[in-house]
Amino acid sequence: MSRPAFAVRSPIARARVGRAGGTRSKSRAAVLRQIPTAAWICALVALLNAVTWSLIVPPFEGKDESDHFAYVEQIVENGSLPENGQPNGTYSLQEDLVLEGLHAGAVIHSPQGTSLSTEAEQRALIKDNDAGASRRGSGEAGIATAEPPLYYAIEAIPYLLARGNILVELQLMRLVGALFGAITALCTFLFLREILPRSPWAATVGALCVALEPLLAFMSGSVNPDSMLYPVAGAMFLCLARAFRRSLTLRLSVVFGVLIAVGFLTKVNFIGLAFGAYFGLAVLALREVRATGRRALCAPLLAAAVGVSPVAVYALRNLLSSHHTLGIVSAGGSLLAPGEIVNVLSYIWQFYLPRVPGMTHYFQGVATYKDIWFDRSVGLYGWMDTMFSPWVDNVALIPAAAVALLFGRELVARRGVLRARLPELSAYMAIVLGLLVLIGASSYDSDVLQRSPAFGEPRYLLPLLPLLGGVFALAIRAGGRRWAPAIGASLVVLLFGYDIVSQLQVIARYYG
Amino acid sequence: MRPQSNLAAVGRSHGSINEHREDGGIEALEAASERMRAVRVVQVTLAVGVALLIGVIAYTLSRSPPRVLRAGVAPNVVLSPLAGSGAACQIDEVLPAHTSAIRLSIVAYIGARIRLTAYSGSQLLTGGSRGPDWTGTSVTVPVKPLSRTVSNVRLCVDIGPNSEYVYLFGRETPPAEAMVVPTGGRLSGRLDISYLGAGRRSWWSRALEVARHMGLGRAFSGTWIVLLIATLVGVVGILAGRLTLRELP
Repeated sequence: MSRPAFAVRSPIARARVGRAGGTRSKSRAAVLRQIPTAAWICALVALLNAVTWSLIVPPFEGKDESDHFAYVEQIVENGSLPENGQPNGTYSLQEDLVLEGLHAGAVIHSPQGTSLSTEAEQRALIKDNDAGASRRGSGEAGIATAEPPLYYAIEAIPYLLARGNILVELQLMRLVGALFGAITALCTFLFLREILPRSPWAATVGALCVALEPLLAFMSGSVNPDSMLYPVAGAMFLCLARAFRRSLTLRLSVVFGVLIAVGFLTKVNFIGLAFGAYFGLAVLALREVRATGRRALCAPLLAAAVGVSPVAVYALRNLLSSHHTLGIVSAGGSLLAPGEIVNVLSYIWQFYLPRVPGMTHYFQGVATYKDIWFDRSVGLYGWMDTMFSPWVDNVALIPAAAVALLFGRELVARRGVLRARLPELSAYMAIVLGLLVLIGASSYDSDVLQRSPAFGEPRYLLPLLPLLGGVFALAIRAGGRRWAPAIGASLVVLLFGYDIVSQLQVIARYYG
Repeated sequence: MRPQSNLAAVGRSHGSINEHREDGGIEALEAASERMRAVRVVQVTLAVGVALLIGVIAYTLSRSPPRVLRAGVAPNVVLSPLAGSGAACQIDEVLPAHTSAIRLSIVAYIGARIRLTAYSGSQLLTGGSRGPDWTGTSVTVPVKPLSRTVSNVRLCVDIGPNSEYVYLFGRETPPAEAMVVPTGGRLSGRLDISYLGAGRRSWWSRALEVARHMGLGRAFSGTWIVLLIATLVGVVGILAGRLTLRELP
């Protein structure tokens, strides 16, 4: 590699740099300097892309954005978390006024309802926005109520910067999400360079494709804790890759533990990712113990302890205040009952895969893998009200199948290497499995037990974006010297075009 | 002899160095040529791709967005929650000429297959179907357009199979006007049905209107937002293209 392909040094090397430099800030600066320019460009692409989406999507038209905004408002204005137990809480009068001014009720979930279209409506909106009405709601934040507070605490900063103007507050909060999108692309880049050190170009293009992914940009360009979960997951993948390829040093284990803790504090869905993270730690611990004895258990145990600490504090707080020990997660315990578990597993299977004869039919008439996961991955924006025509989904099958074939070809060709890296791959697969099972089980609880909607939204799978970047990179590598440049460049144009066409679809829906 | 052999040895050694140099030079040349070829391939692919993209976007913008030929009743009530298959017909509908799609206020998180048939008396006028790949508060079903407007149409909706609940939204009416189910019973009102056809103006001709529209609904209104968005998209494209070329091995 003539270029400093992947120059972030091992934690030990970084520690040395820190000591030599004399100060911690110098050490951090040195680490940042060693990140290749290409990684920063990937991050910049993701940042600008998300900023673009934040400007295209009208205020509060990001998925559940009004609820997430209400959570931040509750923290700042009331100084407390939204947990007063009222199931049908209301937003603050000021938020309600702005939503009314935006005609949100007629636009959300209604593809035929467009955003404001006259100057008079704009004047009315500004009047509502400047009304100075109460910023205190009933103390709830809709579907966001059960979520942990870290993301919302961070979003309180832009809220405070623009305090008093909801529309500006919301836009600044969206920009924070765009930063998270940039960090996701950065982590994906570093992860791919780590796992594919001999294919730096393929890794770069894989990360670039992730940076251009429109669903990532849409989610990062709106106020939603998912946007913070993506970089946390990306950084976790990076830590695991480094730990498996180098070693799980004490410093790396602290970083990994902190990431797990941050994940737990970001969104409940992280529980699915945590399963894989802890599985990865267990595999690493086993490997280290075999190599250097029991002393090596120190680092993985430290990571596990740091990671689980917020859960322990949360459980203790709930016990002391006579709430369910694990909050909303406690309700999930009923799914593990002997009579229920078979149904849950059957449901989860059918949620992603074709039904096997003998299974109860949970999705009659629906090919979940295509109608839910593939078609909605092609395009599902706004409040699940902006999709492409069915023919676009069918056309999208062609490039998707081509990438899948190339990826499969490369896997078969490199099966020897894969076998050697089985422990590492098993950790990644555990993360995938954990997330899929969590989404499926939550969907079962909502769909089957509570007769509420299922949870079939591809945004839940975006924490796995670094692996999608890996799929792109391996598909490029499958082309060999001769075809790889053409495949890589085609993928970049394809993703860029896909991004623009998605933006146009959203523009047509809200402003057409 | 020895000096000669030494010379010969030196000569051989020099030859070997020269050969190595030549080998190294050839390898370097080959690598440079390989890189040039790769750069050319990437440049051509990017150029062709961007040209295709511009073509696709230009073609799409030359098309007209669908417009509502005839709006339905403003929905305010759930007529029927459906779990499993179901069917119902609505009488006294007017099917406008050139209707290319019919939008039904049917709410589902995971959609179901929808089959639509329009009758005049017992004569089948047109029909269409849509797979379960939809979600939200309405589903649009493409139908074969007719050249003339037809009144007193009976529009039948066949939904399913499905496991999720599907809700028909509409407005309560006297029983005589309400939707009829195959068993002969009636729902509580009429389904909200809108008839869509091709618009008269292309996206191109509406570009300024859309741009003005995009400038509204924010704290800082103005069409400049569209220019900012276009600039950002351009910068993203340039950065992506340049990075793809720059990082070639």
